Amino acid sequence: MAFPNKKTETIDCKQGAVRSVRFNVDGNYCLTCGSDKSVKLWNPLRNLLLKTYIGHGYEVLDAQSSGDNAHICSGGMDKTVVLFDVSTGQAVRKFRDHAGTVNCVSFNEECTVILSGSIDCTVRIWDIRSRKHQPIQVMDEAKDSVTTIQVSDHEILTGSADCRVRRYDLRMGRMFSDFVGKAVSSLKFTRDGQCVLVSATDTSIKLLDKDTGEMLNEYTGHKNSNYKIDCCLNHKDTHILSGSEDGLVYIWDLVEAKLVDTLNHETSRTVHSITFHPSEPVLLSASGDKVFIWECNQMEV
Amino acid sequence: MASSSDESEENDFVVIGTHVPDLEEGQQLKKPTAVQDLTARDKQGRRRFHGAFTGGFSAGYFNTVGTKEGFTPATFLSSRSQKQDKNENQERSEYKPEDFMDEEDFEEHGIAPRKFATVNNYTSDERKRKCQEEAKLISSTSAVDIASKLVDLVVPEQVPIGIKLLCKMGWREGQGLGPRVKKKKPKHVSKSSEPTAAKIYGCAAPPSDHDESDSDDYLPKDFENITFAPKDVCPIPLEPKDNVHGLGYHGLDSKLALPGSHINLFEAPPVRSSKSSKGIRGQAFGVGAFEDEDEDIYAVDNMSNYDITMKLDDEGDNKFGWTAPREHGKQSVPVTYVGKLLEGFCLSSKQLKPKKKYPPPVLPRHFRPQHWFRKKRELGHLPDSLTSDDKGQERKLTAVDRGLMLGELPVMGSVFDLVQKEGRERIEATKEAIAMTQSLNKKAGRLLASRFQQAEEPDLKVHMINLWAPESMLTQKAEESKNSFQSKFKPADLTSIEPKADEADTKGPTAHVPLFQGGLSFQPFRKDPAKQERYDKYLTLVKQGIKDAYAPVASTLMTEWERSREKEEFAKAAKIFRPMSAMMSSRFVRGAMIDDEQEQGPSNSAQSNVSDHAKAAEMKMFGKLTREEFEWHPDQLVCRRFNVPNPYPGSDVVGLPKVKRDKFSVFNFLTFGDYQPSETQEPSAIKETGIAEQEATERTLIPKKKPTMASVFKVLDDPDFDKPTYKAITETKNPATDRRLSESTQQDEEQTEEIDKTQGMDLFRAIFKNSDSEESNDDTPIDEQSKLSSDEEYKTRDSVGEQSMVDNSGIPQTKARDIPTSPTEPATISGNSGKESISSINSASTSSTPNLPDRQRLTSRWGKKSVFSVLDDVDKDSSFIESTESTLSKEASSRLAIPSGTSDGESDGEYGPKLPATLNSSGSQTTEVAHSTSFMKEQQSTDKLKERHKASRKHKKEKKKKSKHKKDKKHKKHRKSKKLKKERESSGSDADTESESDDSPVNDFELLTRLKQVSESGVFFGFKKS
Repeated sequence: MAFPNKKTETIDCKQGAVRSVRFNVDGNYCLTCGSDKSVKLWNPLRNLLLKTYIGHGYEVLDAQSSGDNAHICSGGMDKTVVLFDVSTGQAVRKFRDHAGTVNCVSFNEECTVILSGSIDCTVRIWDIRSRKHQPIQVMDEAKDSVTTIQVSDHEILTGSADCRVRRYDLRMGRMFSDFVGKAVSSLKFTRDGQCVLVSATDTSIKLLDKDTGEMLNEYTGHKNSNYKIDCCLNHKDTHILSGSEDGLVYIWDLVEAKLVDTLNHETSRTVHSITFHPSEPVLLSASGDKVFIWECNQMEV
Repeated sequence: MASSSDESEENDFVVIGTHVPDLEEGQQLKKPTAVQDLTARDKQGRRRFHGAFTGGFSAGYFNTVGTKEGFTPATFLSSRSQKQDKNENQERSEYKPEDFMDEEDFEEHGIAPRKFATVNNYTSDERKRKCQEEAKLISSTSAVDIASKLVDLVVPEQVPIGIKLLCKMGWREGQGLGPRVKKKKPKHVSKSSEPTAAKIYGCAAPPSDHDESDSDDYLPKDFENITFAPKDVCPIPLEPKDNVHGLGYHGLDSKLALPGSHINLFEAPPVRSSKSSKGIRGQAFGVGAFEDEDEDIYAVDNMSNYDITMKLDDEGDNKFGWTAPREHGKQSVPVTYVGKLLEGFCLSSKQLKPKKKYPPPVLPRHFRPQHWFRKKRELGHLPDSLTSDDKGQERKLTAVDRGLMLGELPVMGSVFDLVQKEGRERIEATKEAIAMTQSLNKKAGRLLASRFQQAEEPDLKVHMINLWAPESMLTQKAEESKNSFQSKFKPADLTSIEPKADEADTKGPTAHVPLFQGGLSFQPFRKDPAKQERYDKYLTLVKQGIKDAYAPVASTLMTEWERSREKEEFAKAAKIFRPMSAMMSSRFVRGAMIDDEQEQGPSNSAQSNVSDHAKAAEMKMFGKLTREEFEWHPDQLVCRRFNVPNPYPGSDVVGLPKVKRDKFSVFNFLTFGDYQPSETQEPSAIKETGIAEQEATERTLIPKKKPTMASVFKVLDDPDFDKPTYKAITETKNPATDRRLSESTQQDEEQTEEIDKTQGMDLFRAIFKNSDSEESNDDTPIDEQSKLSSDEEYKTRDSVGEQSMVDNSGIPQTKARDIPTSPTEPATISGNSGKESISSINSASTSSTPNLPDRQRLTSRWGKKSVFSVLDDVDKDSSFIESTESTLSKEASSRLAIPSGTSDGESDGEYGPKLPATLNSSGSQTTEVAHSTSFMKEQQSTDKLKERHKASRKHKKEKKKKSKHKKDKKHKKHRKSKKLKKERESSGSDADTESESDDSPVNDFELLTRLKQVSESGVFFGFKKS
């Protein structure tokens, strides 16, 4: 089985609403962002809270851990991007230049800069290595709130509420903008880096060819009209998963675009944040104040 | 002494002086104190700083006067050279001995110490008292009135006249006012003395008063007849309450609030009883008289040293300086009274009447605390006719209306009433000047006409009437240049002519038209008064909204052809000649566009593309239609952090390179008017350019292409101009060609129409594009190549498409189906052969034109013809006019690398890779997707996906090729559908709108050459007519 189908654990995060849940790079830990201004580091497989990172002034909306697991960056409604030191738990840096809520943050691959997308229609790139408090670049091409951001080795992929997916290719020095019709709520590169999974608020997830912008496949059935709901691919890029506003996680086959399974959270609340383990069929999903761990009950053939 | 000397021999001699102590062994002789070690000390033994007078020679450098070098006496300074230093010298000379003396010197020399003291004027008893009072106040309250102190320092005391008078009358300060009184014997003295009437022995104590402290009241009893001044009574200070504080509020009491005020340095330390009882304690060697006892760290701490109880401070210190009403113990407060009494107040015995209470109104049951706006207001911004249907009288009244209702005379009739007399005179003068220049212009026009013999050409002069600069009226030369200028730049929106301007048009040049009405008399046919008259009439009719405005105007003397021609002319003229404001606006826009040429793409396309994007996204046609690509410059540092080489090394730009133009410029809202598709005719002046085109055509033997933009180049499509070309083609008598031509023309016309509707194109862009095409055409080598390739093409097409063509001759519907098929064939062929060069592009463009061999023959024949003969052929065969025109334009568009819906599908496979990606296959994409059913599409994409997954390691390009093949196949399939034409139209428009966002790079040079051509052609035209 390439996708999880059994709920093995439920973590009550005790940090208000869990705004997002993110695996770290190797998938051994996860971060949860809470509405109580805290970021928590967990060992999800052992249901163990490792550390709580405090430093935000308001709800934390997104977080990511660095590749060396030494830092955590997070952004929140206090318009700041905070860089935490994992071991000491202290906020190493605070970047305040956004004019509005920071929706999404991301390290680059080398974890030398933080990219943050905000409701102020900009993506700002912050240099961690210098002591500057100003962003090294502001990408203000978006006409509406930047909702999601994804960074590869030389590309920056942003989705914004102006219905566009923008891909900045640093090598080519070009910006590609794809119109997807509805406000983009989540974006993911496929693992081969050739396609882009785009979920918009029109209840369809689209798989777009990165180079041409053509739609390769479309996945429908879930509900996504109001919230910023995450979508993701599984660890082998064979299935596509998405949260939904009806308390389920939908799983589609990537090629067939057929709905394969749904994960019932036994709640009517929106499952808005999901994250897939980088190498195993383990899914973390966040709904309300809880994080659910889903694993595969069948051994892989 | 004598006895002692007697007693012993040894003591015989006299000892004088003191005995020098014996030198002990090992003890060194004391060094005599050196000069520098000698110190001067004062009488207290302190080391003294030498004054000049007491120190004497012990002062200065090692007790010498002066420096190490010794005493330097003052040198003589010539007063002559040092005059400017006079002041300094004076100063030096004015040093007094006292300046070098210190206190002790003063003392020794009996010089009284001098102090600064306040002059009498600034002191008085009263002021002193005030000072004292203030000092008291300062100690008691926080308020320190610095201002008054400063005032005291500055403002001299002025003793009021009243006090002066009083002083003269014998009043002293400190006394009360009034007649002197005898001191009454206090009553209580007797009272108190009576009960204590005890015998007193010895010295009797002075009889004490009730108030012991009041010693002033003590009176010797026998001084009964002495009068005293009355006691000075301090008036009760009645301070008006000029603040908004509560009663009894004093603000922060610094004494209480500041921690410093708590420290009582002089408070006796609590006596420790334990210490005394235990005898000697502390350090072993005792504590010296001048030493402080060390803290006894080992002592057992006593709890009595601490405050154990928490008690409320009686002093009100618990308020930390905030002055709140204090409790007054004396006041008997009734139990019912809550709160504290203010200082100086007591509770009144009478109770106040309770205030009458007014309860709030009862809310209606269905009340909702929300304001609902009435419909009317919501729609307030809409015109009255929409909102108020039956309330017509509620329309807004203007000030004039109201004035009329009140019976006032209207204040002013027009703006001119506001103009002052001088201004009016000036206006009159200007008008005269204009009339003069107009007449001059007429002359000039005639002159020009005679020079160039432009018989038919309407005078294209526009009179730029500038009130403020009448002297800048057009000179002849200026007009000439303008003339040519205008012929090039056709003004835009003609439908938006203000009615006033029309009015002005209708009136003759001599008509008394106020300048402010935008009255710019455009008289295109001034040379021919009769024609002008007809034109004026025509304009009025047009204004009245009559459809066929020309019919009643047309003169009976003219032939049918002349009539139709004039009609077209009028229509054109009416559009061209616009008020100056429009002219100016077009000018300014033009200027802006030159600058923006490069960057306009993204900004321009923003509006039009959004809807297209939305449409495409709705139809799930993602890809080319929804994609935009921009140049984006990453920051240098970002590149470094991403470990990526900077794609634009040395570029200062960060982000999208944008035009710096203010977003809210007026020019953004100015648009060029669209052409009405029905009107395709030009005034003959613009035909000049046409001739130029025609010449070019002759030279290159290849039909000129025309842009399909709604712009000046619409002008170039003038059938009159193109006629010769068609004539030549008709001579070939190739039915297939003819048919094909006309078909393609139809398509193209539809296409252009659509563009016309949607696009307001700017002139310069169009020019640039066209000039591009022209230049490429002028290259003969390319032409040859294109011939070759088109030969090849022709053959291939023969095999595939000829059959159907021949069969279906005369049946338009089937024709329409067939047309696209043939062009695709060459496309695929050349695509397979892999020849992707400029020549192939050219061939692609020519491929759309019919049979090449015929054409070659034709053009060679045609080439021998002179310009004049060609022009003579004008209108002989009108049936081909449009067809060739549009063929040309089609070619042009394809050559311009802007895919129009039709041409693109044909050329897709062929020169795709050569062109920018956005342009390349958008047309094909459009057509393809438009045709394909959703099922098909899904199937395809799924296939593609599968492909991707199965052969994920395969090279990307291979995949693309495959898909392209598929597309091509699909093309063929779809083109057989009968709906083709319609869909093409729609998709074509889409593609076109997108294509406009693209810019062909243009430089000024091209523009210049273009302009030159046009002007040249104008001259040719003139000659021809002669």
